Amino acid sequence: MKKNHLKIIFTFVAILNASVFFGQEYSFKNYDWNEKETAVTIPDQYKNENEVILDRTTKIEIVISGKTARQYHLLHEKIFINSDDAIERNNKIYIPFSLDESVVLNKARVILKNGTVINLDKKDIKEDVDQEKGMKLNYFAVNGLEKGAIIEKLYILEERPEFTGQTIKMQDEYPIANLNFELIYPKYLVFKTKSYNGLSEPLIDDKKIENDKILAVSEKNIPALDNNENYSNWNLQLKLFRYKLDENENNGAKNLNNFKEFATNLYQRLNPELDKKQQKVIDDFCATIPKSEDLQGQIWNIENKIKKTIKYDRYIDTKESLSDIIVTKQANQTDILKIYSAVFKNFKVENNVVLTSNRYKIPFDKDFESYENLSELLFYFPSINKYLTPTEIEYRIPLFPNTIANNNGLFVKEKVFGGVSMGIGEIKFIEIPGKEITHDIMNITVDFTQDIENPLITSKLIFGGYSGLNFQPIKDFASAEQYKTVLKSIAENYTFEAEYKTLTTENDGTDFIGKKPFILNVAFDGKDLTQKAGENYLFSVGETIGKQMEFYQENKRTLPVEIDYPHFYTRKITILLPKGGTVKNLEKFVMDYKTIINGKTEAQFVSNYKKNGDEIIVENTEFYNIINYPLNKFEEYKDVINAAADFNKIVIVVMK
Amino acid sequence: MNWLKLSNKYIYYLTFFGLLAITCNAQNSLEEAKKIYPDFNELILNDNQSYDLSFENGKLKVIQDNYYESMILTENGIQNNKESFSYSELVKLKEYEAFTVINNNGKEKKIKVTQTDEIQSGSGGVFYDNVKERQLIFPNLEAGARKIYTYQTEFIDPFLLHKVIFGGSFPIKNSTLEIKAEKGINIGFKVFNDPLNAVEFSKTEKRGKWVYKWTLKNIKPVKFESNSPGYLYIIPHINIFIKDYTIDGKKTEVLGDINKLYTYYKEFTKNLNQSEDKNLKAITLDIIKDKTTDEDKIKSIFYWVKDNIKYIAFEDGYEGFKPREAGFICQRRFGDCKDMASIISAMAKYANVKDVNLSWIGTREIPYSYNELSTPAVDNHMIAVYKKGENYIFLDGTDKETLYGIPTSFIQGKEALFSDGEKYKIVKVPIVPAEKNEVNERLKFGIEKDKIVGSGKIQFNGYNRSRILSRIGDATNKTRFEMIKGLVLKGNNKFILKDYTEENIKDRDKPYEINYNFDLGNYIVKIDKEIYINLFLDRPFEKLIIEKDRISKFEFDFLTKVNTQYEFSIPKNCTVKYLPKNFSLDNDYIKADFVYEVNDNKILLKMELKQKKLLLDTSDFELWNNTIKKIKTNYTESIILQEK
Repeated sequence: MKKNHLKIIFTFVAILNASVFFGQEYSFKNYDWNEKETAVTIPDQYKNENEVILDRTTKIEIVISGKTARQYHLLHEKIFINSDDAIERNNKIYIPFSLDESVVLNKARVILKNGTVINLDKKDIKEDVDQEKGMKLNYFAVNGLEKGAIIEKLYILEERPEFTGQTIKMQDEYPIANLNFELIYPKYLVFKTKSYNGLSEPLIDDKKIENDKILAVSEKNIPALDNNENYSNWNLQLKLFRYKLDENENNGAKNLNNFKEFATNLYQRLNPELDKKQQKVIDDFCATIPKSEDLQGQIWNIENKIKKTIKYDRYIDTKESLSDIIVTKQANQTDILKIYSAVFKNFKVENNVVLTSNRYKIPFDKDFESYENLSELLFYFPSINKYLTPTEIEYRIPLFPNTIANNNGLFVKEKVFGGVSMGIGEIKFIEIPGKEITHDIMNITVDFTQDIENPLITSKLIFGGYSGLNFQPIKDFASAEQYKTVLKSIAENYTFEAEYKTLTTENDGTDFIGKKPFILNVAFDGKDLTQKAGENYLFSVGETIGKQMEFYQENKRTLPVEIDYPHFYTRKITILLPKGGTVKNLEKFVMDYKTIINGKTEAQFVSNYKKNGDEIIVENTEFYNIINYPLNKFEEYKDVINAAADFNKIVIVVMK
Repeated sequence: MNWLKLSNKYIYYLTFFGLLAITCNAQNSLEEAKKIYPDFNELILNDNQSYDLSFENGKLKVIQDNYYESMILTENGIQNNKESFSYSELVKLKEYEAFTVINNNGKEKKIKVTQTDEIQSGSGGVFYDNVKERQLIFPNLEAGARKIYTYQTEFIDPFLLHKVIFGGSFPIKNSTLEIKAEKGINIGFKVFNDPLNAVEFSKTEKRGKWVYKWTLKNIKPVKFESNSPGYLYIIPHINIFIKDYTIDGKKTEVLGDINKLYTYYKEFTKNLNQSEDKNLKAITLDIIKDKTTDEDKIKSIFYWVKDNIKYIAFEDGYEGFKPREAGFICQRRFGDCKDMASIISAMAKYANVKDVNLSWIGTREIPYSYNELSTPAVDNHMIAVYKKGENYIFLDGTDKETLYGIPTSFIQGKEALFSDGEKYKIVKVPIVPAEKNEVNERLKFGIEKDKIVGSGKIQFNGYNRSRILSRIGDATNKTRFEMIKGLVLKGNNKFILKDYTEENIKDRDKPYEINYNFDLGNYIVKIDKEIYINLFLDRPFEKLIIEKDRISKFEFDFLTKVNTQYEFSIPKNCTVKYLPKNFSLDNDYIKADFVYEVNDNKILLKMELKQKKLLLDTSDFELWNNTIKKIKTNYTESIILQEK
């Protein structure tokens, strides 16, 4: 899906006022590849690579004719294919576009090592239409591709112009030898641009084409950026280029596509005047929502009611009125925001609509207002400083998708000027629910008193916040039988895959999300964790905390660490020994590792033990306070991660 | 969209009948349904299909009608607001209708589905098939609401009727298949997975037509289980086919026995590769120029196809049945399974190797033999078969790495159907024995500063070789390093792979080999003067305990043999205080031998494990689990060293 529904309404605003211009052609109409250039020459440095983008030329030209604006989008690419997998990755080409867009030119050819050229036959191009997403797809399989060949593709699309902000990746998993990007547009337009992660700045030429400017970015030999490090954010580390339309000198419009204007428009759209009939439908709906004295509790009830009665789906047709949403029990993005807004108004719950984007996909740069950053939706409640996601059915306040938290957002709040309500936009940081919410507590008892070879292990595992959310919703959407299987596989991580004696859960189902942690109680025989060694028993006590992530061999880290959410663990293991029994190597339980950033302990693993007669109590805490850890702190971070993994491997020697 | 036309009386009848049924069971049915199905968000009330086989203008006409009705049982059930059905050039959509029925103050209210879209069907693995999917979005859903849709299709080819499956992911109250056939039409059918004869069957006569009807009620949802051979092994289903039909005294044979099926199939291949392709011939002659035996020739042809023809499937209409011309495939450098078979057989002809034929075959997810079911539902794949003396070599070009001489793993144990002169022949593909897929490993290690330090050499044969190499592919740098580390990892995740080399990646006649150096922390346990070490640094099959309540059979991709030798150097200042006992076991499932030896300051542990059965029946589970438990118990035994 290329554009979201919310955005479309604003796309043309800027350009409709453009002065009438007689129709014109676009500058690269006659662009073609060089028919004669059929020799395969690969620069020495790339000869042994599996796949190299030898050339990538992108041209986007904005053509305005009368009150309509179109853009022509050219991609010309030459890729060196040098492995079987590279053939498989490249022998199927897909070109997606919207239903109101079209393919002007679509060519492809394969140039074999020996100079033979195989051209794409037009009749081999297939087309699929997806009416729901409003997309078309042109696709074809590439004929004759072999190792050592070059595949060259060239297509031009006629598209809806992109004025509101676009970020283009200028780096890839494979090296790019030559990259050229051009944005061509009428002279009276001014584009704002930004280069990220060391990408060169664009140059502007206003001579080459009469009445047009060419904004160009060129790079050579862009190294591949491997996408294989755990806990990283690859997309944001790539060289990126962002642009948007900022001014139209023909009509004096400045600071176009800004968030302020977006906020005002959105507010108006989401808060329509309601007639009496519609107000009654809303009031009747609200009357069915349970009341709560506590504000967060009230919001929880509202969220629960809407999520259990109105089906959200991005592609549902827009309803004519608010009451239609309630009657048909369906809503798309705009409609779901409308219904929440109306209900909050009824309950007099102060709120801001928040728009943001996935932090793993594109940067939200507060100095570059781009509508790409307004694709994800939230509600913010200033008096309790909490958020709600209107679109994700398994979440409940205070939990919302962590991929859109710890990021900037556009907060749209209501302000009354002389009796008229207006929407005011402001960029603020969306804080992620902290480690006090995602807190896991484990209470594990290992009882050797009955049978030293087969201790009874009883674990109460409490998963808070995001951690619990991984499990809590399953019950509501799986059959009882499937749910049982899922629970079993969760429990296996803590039972060393042994068969359990009892397995019970507490607080499962969406009814408890955001309110209570998920609890798993499991009891099992520890014989698989015990082995006899002569007179003694080796017991793999560390296994009871479950498998742990590790960075033992992460020696050349290249990307900084970014984790999904802050997390706190409190673990207590009580070991009950047979009368007079001893454990030899208790000192293994003493551990202390920290990551200190700006003088603050942001991650830690601490472990200790106490011995009282035949009882040993091991306690440890582990936490990750923040989301981002700079590259120069990686070693300290790794120590904390590995400490937990080391703990998991602790074996004690139990003697009678 | 509405019913486009009501030309067919039968549909009218069905719709009417369907509606009548609705009004009868409307009141309080939600409460009843919830009582019977408390654990489900949705209940399928009716999943009915019917075929109408008639004659029109002297031709056979096959019309299929579908009626689906489900009830939302809970608030969570409203999330399932979409249904869809598919159609194609061979199964043409004629008309459809959909609506939601809700209870409006005690009265039924029908709300038409207005949002219907044709979407991309994207059937797995097929690049292009022209199958369209129509998606229906049901409005006004709430607990008690019913989603109803009907659609009618016309089957263009009477050989290609669909099987009817009595089951799904929700419980089903009633599922019916009905066939109405004019008296000149002979039909055949076969019911599968119905050991208790729960599927009710009746044959009656109505208005001069035979009416066959099968019904299954109160069907439990399908339980998803890993390593299951597939739903066709568990879910009750019916395969129907037309045997023959007679119009104006003229009888036309359709399906029913292997001969008829073979006759139908032959039409797709009889004109294949009749003219010579110069380019492909030249390529072939070049490939085989140094080969003297037929077998060497066919082997080099087979590998050339695997290396040069990539798998891309086009299955538009009869394209799904008809292999393409070898020359065309060669030019495109890609093809689907039939194309691979076509080009291999054509190249064999150029190389003057006889007895290489196209062969139809079903993959292991299809449980039928050709005798049991002689219809196109029996197979889904094509290979080439080379008759070498009295033996057969199965040549499947679709998988990149599988070696010459062994079939692809997913056709082991299946029947291959191919031409033998004018007649057909059926040959069973063997199950590749574990020895051919052996993983052979030699490990030498000792103790340095509380760590295990050592080196290893591991060799992968047969399917183990091909599976691993196709996964690793062209991965480089860290990605490849991590993959190799995953293959050789021993002991625990504190295994540090210091370095490695790989051998024989391209040399298919040799095992794929990795030589590596490693160390392993937090593994040995040292207390005072004693050191505890478990020599089983790798524990094959340990996790393969099968759930007690499992319903499906348990399937392995292939049989494996593991042959590992651990050679541990006893530290100079230590003596062996305890050595675990040897262990051996041999039954229908596994042969295992664990042998310890001490010599020259070394402890040797030889571990051999050989798997014997590819598909475990439910009756095998208990014995299998006992076998694994015995092996596991022996895995936990450590040696003890005593410092002097």
